[in-house]
Amino acid sequence: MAKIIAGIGCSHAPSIAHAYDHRLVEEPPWKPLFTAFKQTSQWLLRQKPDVLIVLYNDHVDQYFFDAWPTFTIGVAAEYQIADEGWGPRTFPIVPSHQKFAQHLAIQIVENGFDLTVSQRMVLDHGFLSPMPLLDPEWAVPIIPMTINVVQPPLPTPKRCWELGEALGKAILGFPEDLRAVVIGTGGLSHQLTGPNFGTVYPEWDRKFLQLLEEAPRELASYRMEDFARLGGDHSIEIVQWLAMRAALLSAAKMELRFYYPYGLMGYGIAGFRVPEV
Amino acid sequence: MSTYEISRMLYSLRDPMNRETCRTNPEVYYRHFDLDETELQFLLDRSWQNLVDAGVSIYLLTKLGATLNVDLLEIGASMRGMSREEFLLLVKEQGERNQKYTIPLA
Repeated sequence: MAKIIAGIGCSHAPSIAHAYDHRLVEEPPWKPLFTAFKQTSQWLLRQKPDVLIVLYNDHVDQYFFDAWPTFTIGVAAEYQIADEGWGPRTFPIVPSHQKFAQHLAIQIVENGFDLTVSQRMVLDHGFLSPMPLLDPEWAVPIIPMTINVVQPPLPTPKRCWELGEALGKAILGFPEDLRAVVIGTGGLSHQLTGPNFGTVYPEWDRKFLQLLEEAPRELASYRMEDFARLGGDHSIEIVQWLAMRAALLSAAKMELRFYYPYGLMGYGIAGFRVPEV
Repeated sequence: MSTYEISRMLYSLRDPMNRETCRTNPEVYYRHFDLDETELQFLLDRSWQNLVDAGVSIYLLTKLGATLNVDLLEIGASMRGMSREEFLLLVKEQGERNQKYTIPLA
């Protein structure tokens, strides 16, 4: 049977992509972040995952306001890279595990979620800024899932938590032996508009990491407006971390924790290991 | 003001050929879409905060930024009523103040 062996929460940002593409990863302000990603990658790959389920949000690179899906899962065999305005970044096509993705789609619907199922989607920086850092060889197949944090009305954090629980159940119901890792990307604090553009909220970010470890369900009782007020309007992406956390069993332990407030963002990474019985 | 049409224009800038056309003559490009005069003026003036206040997503504005070679730092500085240099200094000072909150990866 499939099992969930680990979970990761990590930031995604065009700044990460930019630093990577412009070979700035060894430069002093960036080095701590990229070193932390490298160590997280080593930690992840040591656990020999068979598939990575990546919960992120699109930034109007795939979806539009004609019909923005609340929750999606990709069931394609592979995925193309989005052009966010600077041409698609040069990575190979991203491979998936189609059979497992289709199983998840069916099971999550059975578990009470009306998922949008996508047969074709382009992956933007929500996926693509951290993933080459976590799996540089592109060795592990991925399954993309998105949450709407752009077009109101947004799902509640509670609903995002429940999605994670439904995902966790669906993973465990897959009859083949598969070592699955759930990754939630986004956040931490950032504000991209208005008089507070560029402000970072490190005290809240650290509290978020603490709650994620000690009382994650409490985070599910917050409202989106709370997250926006505490960490900036665009930090509400942390619901993807919540969904990741909810997918893991309650026995999951936070083994990795990293926080780095720099530039326009509070960059964070958290790694959870699920004890293998 | 419904932002659907201006959003549609900005979304079209995902296509590199559209970006090239827009770059060549932005006003002509904008006028292909059914925008109202206020929106059009905000675009021509590059009034980023006015566009945000009108309800346009920052994730769409960055695509126009990419087209016109205006980066997020410049967009943000203008939203704060600062020069790029002033804003970069502010961000640097914020980073120094916040350094104490760093958690190194254990």
